[in-house]
Amino acid sequence: MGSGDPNGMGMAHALASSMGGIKTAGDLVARMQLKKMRLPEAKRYVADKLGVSILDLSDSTVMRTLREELDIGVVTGVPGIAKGLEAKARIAELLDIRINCVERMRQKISAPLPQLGSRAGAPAHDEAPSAVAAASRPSGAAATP
Amino acid sequence: MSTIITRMGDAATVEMTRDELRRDIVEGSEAAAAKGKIPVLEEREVEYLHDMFSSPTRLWGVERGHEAILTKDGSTLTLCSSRLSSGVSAPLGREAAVRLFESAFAFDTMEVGHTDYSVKPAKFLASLEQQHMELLQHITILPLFYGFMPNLGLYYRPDGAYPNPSDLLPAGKIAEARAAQEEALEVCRRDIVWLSRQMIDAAADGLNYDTVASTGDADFLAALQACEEITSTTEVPVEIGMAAEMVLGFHGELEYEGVRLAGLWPHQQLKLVEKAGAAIFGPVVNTNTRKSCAWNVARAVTFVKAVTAEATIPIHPNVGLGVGGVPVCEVMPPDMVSRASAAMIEIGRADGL
Repeated sequence: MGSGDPNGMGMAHALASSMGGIKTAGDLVARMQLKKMRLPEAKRYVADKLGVSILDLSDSTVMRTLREELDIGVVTGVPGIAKGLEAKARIAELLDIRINCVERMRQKISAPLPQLGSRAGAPAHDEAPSAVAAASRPSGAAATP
Repeated sequence: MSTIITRMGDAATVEMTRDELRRDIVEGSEAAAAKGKIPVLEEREVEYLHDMFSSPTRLWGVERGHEAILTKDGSTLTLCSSRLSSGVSAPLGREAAVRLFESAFAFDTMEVGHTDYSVKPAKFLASLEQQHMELLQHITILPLFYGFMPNLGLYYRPDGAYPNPSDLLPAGKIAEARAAQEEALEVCRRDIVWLSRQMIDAAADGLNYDTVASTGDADFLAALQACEEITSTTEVPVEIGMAAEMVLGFHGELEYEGVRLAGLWPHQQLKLVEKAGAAIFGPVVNTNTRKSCAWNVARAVTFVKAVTAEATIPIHPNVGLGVGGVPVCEVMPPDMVSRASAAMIEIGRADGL
C-alpha cells in the first residue's frame, strides 16, 4: 500500500477498496494470492471452498456467521471460537494449503521429547530430579537409576 | 458554470471546470502512454474518472464485489513511528499494533518490520524480529509478512564500507562507481537472503521486499537475485514493491535474465519480477505535485493497467504517500486517497493495493 497516517491512508483504502480481512474472507483470498492466484481466481477458489458467492466473500453479514460456523476465527472477541494459530490450522485444512506457522506447530507437537537420562549434564544419581524431568516421565515410571 | 472542487498533487484544494477536469484526465493518460509506450485509457475509463472526480462526495469506493486485497509495507510504523513515516506515535507495542490492523482496521494482510525498515540495520536485530514474528503467528489469523527494503545506499560511505557512487560519478570515475555498486549489491543480496531465511524459520507467511530500486539498478538486481534464491529453494512467497516508476541507471549496464535494468518502466519491471519467482508485484507511479490529482490518477492507472494486462501474478500497486495518484503531503485527505484506491482497482484492474 504505502506510507501515510493511519486514518487518511490505511483506513481510507480499507473502506474504499479492501475485502475486509477477518471481518469477511479477505484473509482467505489473500492466502490464495500468496499462491500466485490473481484476484478473480483467488476469489473463485475461496468461494467454492466455502460454498458461497463471490459477492458473499466481502459481505461481513454473511461471513461473520459463516466464520463462526466454520470456527476459523471472527473479528469480534467471542470466547470459545478458534483464535490465532488454532484458526489458521483450520484454515489450512479448509483451503487445502500449507501455512508455514501451522506446519511448524505440527513439527513441534510431533517431535519426540529427548531422553532426559541421556542428556549431557543430567542430574547425578543422588540428586533430586528437577520438576521438568519429573513431569516428563510417564505416569508411575521410576526415575532412571 | 459550476466548478468542481478537487485537489492538486500536493493536496491543495483547487477548483476546476468540467472541461478542465476532462482535459487533465486525458492528458495524464497521454503522459503515461508517451513515457511507457503503452495504450491510453479508453473513453469509458476516462468517463469513470470524470464522474469520480466530479462527484462532491468525500469518499469514493469500488463497486460491491470488486473489493481487493491490501498488503502493507512499513509494518506498523504509521501507528508506532513519528512523522518520518507519517506515524502518529501511538503508545503501542508492535504486537498490539498488528492486532489493531487485523481487528480494528480489518486489513487483509499485515507485516512485521523493523523501525528503520532497511535490511542492513534489521539483520543485527534478527533474533528480536524473529520473536515478534513467532509471537504474532500465535495470536493472529491474517497472513503475516516480514517486510524490509534493500536500501543499497546504506552500503556506501559514510554509512557503509564501499565507495559512494554519488561521489565517484561527478568526478568522472565511472568504472570505479560501477565496481563499487557491483561489490555492494552482492553483500546486500546476501543480507536479503540471510534475513529472509531467518524470518522463514520464524514462520513468516511471506516476505515483502519493498521500496526496491531506491538506489537504482544495482538495488533492483540485488532484490531480484535474492527473490530468485528464496523462491527457488523454499515455498515462502515474496512480494516485490518498487520505489519509483522507472529504474534509475546509477550503474547503467546491469542486467537480469539478459535485460538491462536501467530505464525499465512498470510493465517491463513486471516481466523480471515474474522471472525471479515473486508472488506479488507492487508497481509505483510517482505523483507530480504541479498537476491535479485527476491528472495524476489518470497517469497512474494508465501505467498500472498496462501491468495488469500482462501479469500472471497478483498486482498490488503502491498507493501511499506521493505515489499511485495519492498526493504528496504529510497528513492524507481521504477524499483523494479513496479515489486513487478505487481507480486502481476499477480501471487499473489491480488485484490489491
